Amino acid sequence: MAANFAGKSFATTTTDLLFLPVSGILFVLAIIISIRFKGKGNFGSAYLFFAGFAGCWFTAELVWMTNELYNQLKFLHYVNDYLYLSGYPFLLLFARYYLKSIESVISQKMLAYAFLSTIVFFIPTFYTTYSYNPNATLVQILWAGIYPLLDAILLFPTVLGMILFFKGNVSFLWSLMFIAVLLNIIADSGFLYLDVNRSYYSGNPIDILYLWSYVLFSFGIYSHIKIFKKQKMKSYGNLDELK
Amino acid sequence: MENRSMPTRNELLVIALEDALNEMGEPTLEIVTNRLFQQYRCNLVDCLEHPDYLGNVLKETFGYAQIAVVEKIKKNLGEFGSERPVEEFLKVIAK
Repeated sequence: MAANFAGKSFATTTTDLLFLPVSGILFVLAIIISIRFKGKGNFGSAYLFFAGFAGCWFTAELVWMTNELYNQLKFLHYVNDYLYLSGYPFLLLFARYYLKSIESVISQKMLAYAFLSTIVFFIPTFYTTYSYNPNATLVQILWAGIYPLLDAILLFPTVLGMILFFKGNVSFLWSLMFIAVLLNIIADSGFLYLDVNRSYYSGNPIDILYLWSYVLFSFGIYSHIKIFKKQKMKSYGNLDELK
Repeated sequence: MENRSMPTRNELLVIALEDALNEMGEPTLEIVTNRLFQQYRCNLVDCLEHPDYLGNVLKETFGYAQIAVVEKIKKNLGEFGSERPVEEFLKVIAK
């Protein structure tokens, strides 16, 4: 935000340099927790998919930074898009397995709310994007609509996670992952509106939401690393204690 | 022929409990048993007498896992899960 006062170019450089370490830290944390769970159980699968997501987005940030700071190579935009897009299925699978352990407490009513939120989010977002250019080709429409569509799909498990949090079924640390996804969805919508307006630039204040999303993901994963870190079993010491 | 006796209710309950924790992820069982010992000097078998210990550890560790554990145990035990002592045990964990 402060970098924007020093000009767009400074904001772009600052943001690009911030995104790389933040997404890099998240990737490292995701690898650590995946190794701890070894892909076993619901959490194991969830963290494995999360590491896939973090890897895709870290690489995307790396490509984005290279593109912005050095070459302005046009073809890298497509590589970037493919990398960001490939992160979404991983994130969706992560949410699926993350929720799996507690699916028994998810009621039909919660599912209905989540579905409704998905529809309420998707239709206006997609329509607004399309209405900026009604003469767009099918390919252009697909490219414009793919992010809102994926965000809408992601919103479904996110709303379920948030309902569980507000109902007091799950703790705040557990919910951090879904709060981060929600921030990301909001940021994506903001990005989309700015992009169709041609007013987005790298370093725009909307990027703060993406940064916070990375930070909350990192805190969520870090809290789980702390909870599940290998513990040394204390020696029995006084055997009378066991009696 | 080997004479195998039927597992007792307590043995079945412990197996169901271990299975529920393992399904969440391998370190889950490890962390819960470690914490039970460190805080209450007991193991999973002892928890059958003190389900509140297990409930506290699950709540402290995950903030929610007792729901998952209770439902999984019910599923694993089938009809046996509706027996009164088992029901009471699950009720205390779920608190």
